[in-house]
Amino acid sequence: MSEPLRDRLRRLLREAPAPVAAEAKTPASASADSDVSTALGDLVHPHGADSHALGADELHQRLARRGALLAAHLDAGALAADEPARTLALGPPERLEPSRGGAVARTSSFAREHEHGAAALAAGLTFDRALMAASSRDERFAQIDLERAVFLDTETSGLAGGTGTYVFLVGLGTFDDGRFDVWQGFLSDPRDERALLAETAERIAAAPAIVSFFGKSFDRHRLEDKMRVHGLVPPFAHVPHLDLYWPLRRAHQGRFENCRLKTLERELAGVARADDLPGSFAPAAWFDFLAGRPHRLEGVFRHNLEDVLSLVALLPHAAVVPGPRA
Amino acid sequence: MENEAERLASRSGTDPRRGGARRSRSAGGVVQIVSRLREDPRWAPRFEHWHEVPPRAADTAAYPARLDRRLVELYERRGLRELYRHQAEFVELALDRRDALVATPTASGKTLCYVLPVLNALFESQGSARTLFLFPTKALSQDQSSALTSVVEELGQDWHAFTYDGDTPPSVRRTLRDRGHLVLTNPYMLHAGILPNHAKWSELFRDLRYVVIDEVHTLSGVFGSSVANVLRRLVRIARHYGSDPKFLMCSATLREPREHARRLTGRDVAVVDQDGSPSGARTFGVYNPPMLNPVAGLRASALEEARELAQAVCGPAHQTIFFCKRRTAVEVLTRYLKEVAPNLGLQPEEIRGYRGGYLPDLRRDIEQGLRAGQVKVVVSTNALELGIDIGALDVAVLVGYPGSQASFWQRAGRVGRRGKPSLVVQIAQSDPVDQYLARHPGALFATPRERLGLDPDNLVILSEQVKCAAFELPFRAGAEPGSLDDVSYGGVRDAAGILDYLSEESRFVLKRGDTWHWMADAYPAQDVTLDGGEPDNVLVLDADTKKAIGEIDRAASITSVHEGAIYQVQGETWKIERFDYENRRAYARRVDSDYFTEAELDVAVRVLRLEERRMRTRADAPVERPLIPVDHDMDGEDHSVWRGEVHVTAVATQYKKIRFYTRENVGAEDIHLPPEELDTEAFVLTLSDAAACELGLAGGDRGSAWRGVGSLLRRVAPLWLRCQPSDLGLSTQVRSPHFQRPAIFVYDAVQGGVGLSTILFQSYRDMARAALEVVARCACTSGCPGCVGPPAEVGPLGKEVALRVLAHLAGGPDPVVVAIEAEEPVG
Repeated sequence: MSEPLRDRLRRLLREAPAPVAAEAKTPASASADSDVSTALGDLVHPHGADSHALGADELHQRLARRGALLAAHLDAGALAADEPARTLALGPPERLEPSRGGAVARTSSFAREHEHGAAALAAGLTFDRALMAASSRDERFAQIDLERAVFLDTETSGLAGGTGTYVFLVGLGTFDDGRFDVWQGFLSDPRDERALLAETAERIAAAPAIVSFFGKSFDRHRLEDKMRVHGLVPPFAHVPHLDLYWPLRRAHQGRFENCRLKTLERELAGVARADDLPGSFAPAAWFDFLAGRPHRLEGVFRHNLEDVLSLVALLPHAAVVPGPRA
Repeated sequence: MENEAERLASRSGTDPRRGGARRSRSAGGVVQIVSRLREDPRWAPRFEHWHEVPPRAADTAAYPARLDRRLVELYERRGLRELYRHQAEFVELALDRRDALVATPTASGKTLCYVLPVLNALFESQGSARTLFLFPTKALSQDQSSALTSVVEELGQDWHAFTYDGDTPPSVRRTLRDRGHLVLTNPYMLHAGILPNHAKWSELFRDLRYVVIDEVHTLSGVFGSSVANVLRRLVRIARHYGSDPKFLMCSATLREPREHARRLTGRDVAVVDQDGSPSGARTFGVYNPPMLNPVAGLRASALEEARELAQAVCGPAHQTIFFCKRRTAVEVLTRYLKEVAPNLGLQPEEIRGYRGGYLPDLRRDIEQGLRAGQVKVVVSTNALELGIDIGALDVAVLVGYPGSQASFWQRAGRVGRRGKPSLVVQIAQSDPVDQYLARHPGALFATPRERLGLDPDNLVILSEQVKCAAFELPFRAGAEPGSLDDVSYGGVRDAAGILDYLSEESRFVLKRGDTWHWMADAYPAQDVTLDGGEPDNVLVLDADTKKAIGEIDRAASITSVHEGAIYQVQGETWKIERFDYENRRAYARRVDSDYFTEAELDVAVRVLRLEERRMRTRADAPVERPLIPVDHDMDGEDHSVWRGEVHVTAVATQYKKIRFYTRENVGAEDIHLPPEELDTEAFVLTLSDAAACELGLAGGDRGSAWRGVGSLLRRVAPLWLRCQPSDLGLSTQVRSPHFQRPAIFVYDAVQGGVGLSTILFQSYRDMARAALEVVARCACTSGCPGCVGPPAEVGPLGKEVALRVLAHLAGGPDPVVVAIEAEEPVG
């Protein structure tokens, strides 16, 4: 007599029965990828047949193994033979503490001479601070040495906003001695959100400034919201934030088709990306990853990395005070 | 003692234009008006009933000793030496940190009930306590916001009251979120603005002491059931940030207020419902328009009568309010009264219309004019029914019964606030409910009868709201299988099952270990409405500009926006040119139509499951003279009522074009649209074949008479159930395939149902008695729109048979509970 809730819901919500495992198959890709994907799917997406039966020890072992596999996968992706030549090499993943393994980070390291677009990364630090202060309308940037700043870019689960939006990838670039390191914190399990945010907050709080593109309007708020949810103190109020979007827009509005990062990096800094995954695909790529289909994740990491490098490349172009229109 | 809301809004409290000479003249005015209406042969015969309520003294009590002295001193300075007893009781409950509801009439000082504990909490916490206020309308929250601001200013505190609604500029929002001690908003903004962005509101949630909800009697049906879930979400979020808010609620006088508050909040709520406020002598007159055609049961139009009556009840020395049911009626009556203003001793500008759709500035201007006494006559829709501060008026004329007892009292409460005599005239329409009340005015004035339908666990509403909640914070599984570890949804039976369903079938939710996470690039609250359980409403668009001119729910679409339909919005007529059924869009073009359209619906009902039954045996049935003696087992069924789940298939068959005013039928066209399907709850009445035979429910006309009984039961339902007639669907079957005997189905016209049919099941005997009264007392000869329907619809013997059936159902003992298993469905 009593109808199962599932059937009742289907009936009342006017939804047809779900297709059975219609999407279970991993999309065709390079053979190395498929193997890793299958292995990853098993690990990273543990709500398969045995997910409820895992003991704590077993879980830990699996999670440890997951780190290694994730590394294997990401490397395999990075080194795939048919990738274009200028594909950036990404660092190996490591687990963030304290997390159960669902928050990982990888650091990719570049020489200061590494050319991103027309110039070496080091050239990004060569600009007139007084002009930067004027163009950004923030006097503090006349004094701040951006060599120690964090270059911030994030990928999120959506652009619609709201506290429920996840920041699943945080890219933070910093100059360090002779190198430029991009730390990418990644959420491979939403339960470990707090670990990723805590580490992110700490890294930002330690920096003398933040450099971003449109970050004052977007990235900052997503991070701040989530930090508040987890009872963390958001660092943004105390760290000067240079959002390149505004000075670049003031200086170059009307010159190009639009004022997006991709347009400006191409037009101003000569950056040409190969096979870039559009940022708007990032949420779906993450959802796919969580559902055991990690095939597009590598692309998101690379996209984020390119974004961070472009912040450096665009920095000197923001230190321009717009003159009267020609 | 003056009304509190009014006093709060007045910063000085000593406006010379208020009270004083003008008011004292008005006292004599009302008394004279009443005696004229009672004695003048032109009016006296039309009043079916007069009801006098003697003046009542205030029942007062001292301020609770725990209240901060500064607060008490402020109100003492404002002239309030004591509280009314219900205010004092409520404040005590709130100070004890109880969830509480005050259910007393309009103008009994409910605002002060919550303002005192809320401000006291701010003193006590040295400014850290926060309160969120929910008002049903923007206008009300703006009203209250300025009132609170004036109190806070007078207290000399650096606290801030803000209204947060769609009009709040983005530049102000941030300040408001971080610095608003008292945030006034509405359920829509809480649902779609605040909760999904709770991190931005974390200052509010960190020390949220109280949630004030005004006018909770308006929270019923789909809207109320959705709001109950918004409150569940609110409590989840507040708990997450470490606070434990208590609910302080106000409502009009309600039947079963405690039960309503419990279903709304899921908590055991203390109720205060003994009104201690004083009132002046009040006179109520029930006016029945003259019968124009007794055979057809046709009475003069209530709006026409209101125009006539204006001559007797409008004048320069007092203030009169007319309440109309429709916006167009407001415009028509206002224009007429302005034309005849000199005959009333008024300037045209002293007469104003008021309704939703007017710009806020215009509304503020009219409200101010009413408070200051410059506006002598206002014609309004229900827009002035809720607690907007317009001061106290003298005479109210209700053009038609507003559809619920609560609304009646809210409207009546607009007059006589200052302990002065006042008059309320209720003009009856031809509608069965109006006519029933014209003959049983006692039912208007007696204790509240209406129940409120509310079902927060309706699966459709619940699953939509659980999506919103999952977006706001992940859900965690409880210790028991299938349970949740959640302050709000932990006790909701199907919540965990819904999350599993969403994670396995919709992919909007990801389950990881013991937690469910929202996992989609979307903001669910944007797609979830509070007033329609389902997201697939139909948008009505201007065919030229493609701009939306209206929205209509899925079920109503096939009868309102089919091709050729006349769609009315704000008094304008639009003709539907194309209905894109698949994409839920209807395209309309503005026309000047002299007709409207009415679609006919063929409804088939299939029983899915029966949950409760009450039956009367033939032995218990009242003895009547059977027309056809039926020899039958006396232990068998006389009639039964049931409650259960049904599947409804509704097909729009054709529509008629009907002239405005004359109601002349000027043509009919077919409608070609797919059927609308609905799974919902129903109240069912079945009559045994033996009883049907004996009552003469037989032969060719039986279907019509049976339909007459059904439509009358549905139409009197709002006497016991707060709803619109359109909230209930009807299907009558002379031989139900399921029951194999005559059956009437009255169902919730909402997917999944929101508890309306349960109330019908409880109130069935009262409904049967009222329906009987309406038919028995109706002057028509063989059916009219005021009772079972015109003979063209119910057949020549329809009224007679319906009367016999209703007398049978209303008489004799009540049916008693029997087990469902006792009856296996036949066939």
